[in-house]
Amino acid sequence: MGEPLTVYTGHWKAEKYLALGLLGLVPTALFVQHAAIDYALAAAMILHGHWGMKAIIDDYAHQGKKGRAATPFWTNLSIGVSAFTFATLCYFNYNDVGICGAVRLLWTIT
Amino acid sequence: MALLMRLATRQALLRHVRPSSILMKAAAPMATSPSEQAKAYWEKNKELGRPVAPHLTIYKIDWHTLLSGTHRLTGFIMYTGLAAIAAATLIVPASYPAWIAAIKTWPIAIPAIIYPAKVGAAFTVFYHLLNGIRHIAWDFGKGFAMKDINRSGYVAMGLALILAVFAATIVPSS
Repeated sequence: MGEPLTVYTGHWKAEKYLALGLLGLVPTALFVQHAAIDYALAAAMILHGHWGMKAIIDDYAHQGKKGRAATPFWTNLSIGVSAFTFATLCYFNYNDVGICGAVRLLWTIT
Repeated sequence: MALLMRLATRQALLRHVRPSSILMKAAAPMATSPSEQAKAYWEKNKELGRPVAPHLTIYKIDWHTLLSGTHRLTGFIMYTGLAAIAAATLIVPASYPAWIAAIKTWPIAIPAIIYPAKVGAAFTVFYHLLNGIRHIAWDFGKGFAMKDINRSGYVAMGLALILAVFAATIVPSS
């Protein structure tokens, strides 16, 4: 409210381009293993997931009869979790087998 | 006939805007911009104590409700699952490959448990990906005919199940 509407359309477009990017990235990651794909996956998955969680929080964690805005607790928690998960995934890509390698190894369990 | 209708409608509308009308006292204050109107709308809702959406319980659950709900649920599972696994890699000792090697020796590491678990995990990814294509098509304004919505829904669900069952059979070499 009060913000220019272009803020929302710009964000909406960014969400769609990111979703399209992931649509190409995830199938690629199934066949090509590369450090660049690991880092791109970490960034794209977390941002896509973070915006998805924002939609869920806006829908279900608003303040009910007190107002439409999302409860600050859940909004802040989601920012914290997203930042933490992104940092941890980068650490994992650098120090361990990386995201693609992790899925591959997980799939060797029978 | 149209002229008669128009005259009758105008008469009805005029009755509402008469300042003395008791309705005017209950109406929201006039606002000039869309954002001010939205603000007045929400303030009025707050005053009246109206219930706020989403009304998950008042609609009939049908096929499309389940498809849409599954999309959100699979996304939620992947995000929270990824966050939990990321946290676990920091908390537990030893490297990821060491954990995979250890899990292979656990008594639950038998095909009857691992195979369905893999089907479930693969379905979560493939369904969200395939149904995501439907959402992108809708965002471009395509595929809104009821026939297309039904057909693309069956394809996304069916293909996700087939791919999941197939992907769970693949075992990487290393």
